[in-house]
Amino acid sequence: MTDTSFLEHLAATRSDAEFARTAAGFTVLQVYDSVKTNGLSSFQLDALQRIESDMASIDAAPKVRAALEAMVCALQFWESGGPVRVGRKATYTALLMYGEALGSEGEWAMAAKVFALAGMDTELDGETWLAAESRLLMGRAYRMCADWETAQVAYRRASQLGREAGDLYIAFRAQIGEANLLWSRGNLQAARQRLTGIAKQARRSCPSVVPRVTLALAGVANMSGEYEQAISLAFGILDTLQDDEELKYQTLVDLASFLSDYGLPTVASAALRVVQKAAPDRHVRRHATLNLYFLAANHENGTMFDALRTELAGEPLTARQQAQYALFTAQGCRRFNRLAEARSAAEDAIELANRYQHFQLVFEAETELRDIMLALENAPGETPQRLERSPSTAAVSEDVMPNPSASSIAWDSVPPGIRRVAESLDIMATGGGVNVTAVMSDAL
Amino acid sequence: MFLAPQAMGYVYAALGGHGIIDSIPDARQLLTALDFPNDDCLVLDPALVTPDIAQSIAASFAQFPRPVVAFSSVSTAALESSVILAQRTPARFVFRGTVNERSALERAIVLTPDAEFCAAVLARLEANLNLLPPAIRERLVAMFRTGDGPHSPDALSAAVALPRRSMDRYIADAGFVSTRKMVEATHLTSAYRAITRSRIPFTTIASLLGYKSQRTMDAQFTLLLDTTSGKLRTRPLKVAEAADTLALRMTERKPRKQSDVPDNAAEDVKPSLTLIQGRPRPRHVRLKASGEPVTNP
Repeated sequence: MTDTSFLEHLAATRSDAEFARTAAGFTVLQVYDSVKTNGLSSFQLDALQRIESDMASIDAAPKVRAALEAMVCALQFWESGGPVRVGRKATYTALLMYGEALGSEGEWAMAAKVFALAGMDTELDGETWLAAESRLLMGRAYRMCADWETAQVAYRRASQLGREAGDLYIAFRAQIGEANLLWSRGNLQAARQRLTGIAKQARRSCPSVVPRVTLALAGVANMSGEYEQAISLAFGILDTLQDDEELKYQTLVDLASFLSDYGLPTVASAALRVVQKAAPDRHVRRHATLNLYFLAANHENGTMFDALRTELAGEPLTARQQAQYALFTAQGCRRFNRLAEARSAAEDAIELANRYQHFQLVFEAETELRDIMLALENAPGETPQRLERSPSTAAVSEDVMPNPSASSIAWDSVPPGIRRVAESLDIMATGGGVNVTAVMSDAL
Repeated sequence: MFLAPQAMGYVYAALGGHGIIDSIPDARQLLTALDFPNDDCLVLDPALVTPDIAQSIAASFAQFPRPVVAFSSVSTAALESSVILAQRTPARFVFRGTVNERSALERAIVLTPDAEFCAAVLARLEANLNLLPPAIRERLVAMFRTGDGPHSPDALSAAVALPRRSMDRYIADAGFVSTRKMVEATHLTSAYRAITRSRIPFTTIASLLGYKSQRTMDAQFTLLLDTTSGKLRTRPLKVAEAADTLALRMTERKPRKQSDVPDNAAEDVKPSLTLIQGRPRPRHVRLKASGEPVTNP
């Protein structure tokens, strides 16, 4: 791990808090490497105890802290448990938790390295199921880093290992991930064919994965401009997800994105408000709030925009989210004719996105700054025409979509099926919860 | 089950409608429940028991063996008890915190080995197992007892930190037919309870074992137990009879036609060549082009 992005990240980072938590993660991984190679000695135990005591003063997200604490704890049992090797299993699980926590904080490059390390070590240790899980997560992390080739290799291996371990759920999820790579790269037809094939097989042998395939198919439909189909598919699976908290809120975030692309930003906001209100994970709620802020900046009134701006200002945001927050602030301020504020926010966004190498956001923020400068040159109060932007190729539930729809569509032209979806989401947002069957009967 | 409330839903979801779930409210009642002979599977969170209680649970298991699944988050309290359970009971461990922990728990609950059948098989194989190096022996015994472990010969050789060829040689020298057959036998042992004592669909069991279909699973059952999963469910064999057959299939050597093949060579060192050319196979098993044995329809 010594020559990987950890050191680059440490060198690039400017915040003390971030330096401390990155260093803590790096040190834990160094101790892990040492324990794995040399076994557990008093030297490593001392190091683990030092990290444990330092951890209390580190300003880290709860998931990152929990994962690092789990690593420190599990490593102390590395050789315990005889041939069942509970210590090793616990350590590998904690390693995966750490990768997941990094991912949920937007640190995908580091997460990918952690998953790759876990994948290699679990395979070398004959832990087939954990190896399959690691490779699946590694595929996702590399996909988030837009490293398509490595992501594909990881997904393929995850599928093989998943089958070998008797976990078809992992095998199918890996295949869905591979199909998602196709549409991430723009090959929508091949992705649709692949996903249709997977859906057919999954219905026969692993029905629990079918909602995930359907959601991926909805994503392809949305990318193809078939918004109504995308909305219907995503809304249709909500009722089957009562037990799956993770996928339920992911589906709602995706649905919001489809509705926004279709031209119904207020309905999209309703879907996001459900997530903001009900999602158990803090980072999921924060993600929904940031999406809501984006919609408010581009479609809603000033009061809503300012309320969300204040709410997010107090949230611990990841580096990427900070850049997005600044960008959306710039977009909203320009729309509400607060051009000086908009300019300052856009410059912040460029600075933050450049610092953390989120180049797509740099481009977005530079475009925004150009629009603001044009507005400043024109007569006061005159808002320049927005530049049309095509839908992003990022997976919708995994990131905020900097994709403002050019215009909302007239309610009269919305077909009855989509209206029912809108009404149901409105009822959910005003307190009905995510119980689609009950809400649908209310709406009808 | 003896779990924290938020984990109980996972067990209900994993078991579906295939079993009755009884929740135990505290450690004292858990120890009382373990004081009777019973083969119900116990699902517990090691974080909820102290090391002393874990010792008591282990003592109860020594007297009245039964399947056990430990489902817990990674914490010091959980690991202290887990180590005791790992050393003294056939507990299968699932740690919380991974994305697909639900499917891991489902596999652990469905594929818990039958304690009596497992003990009978291990007793019959004891002499052969004693000829193996400790690393391989302990690993194989743990695989039989917990139903968990490497899923292929390559994964097993990685787990015992030996080159595949060396491990195959040790296995052959100890009188076993092959490493692959050993791994398959641990699979079969882990599924024995689900097949004989539940109504879980065969296709579900087959996929949880990593087989492509029920037919592939049945081919293995036929090779190792001379029966199919369906027959085993409708007319269960006596435990001793099943253990005898399995032990025999794992240790019996088929006569070889080619005289230049040494007797002690592991038969799956070159699986495809040996399988097709060198070894007679039962008439009811045919080979597909992929080399995967399946029963005749």
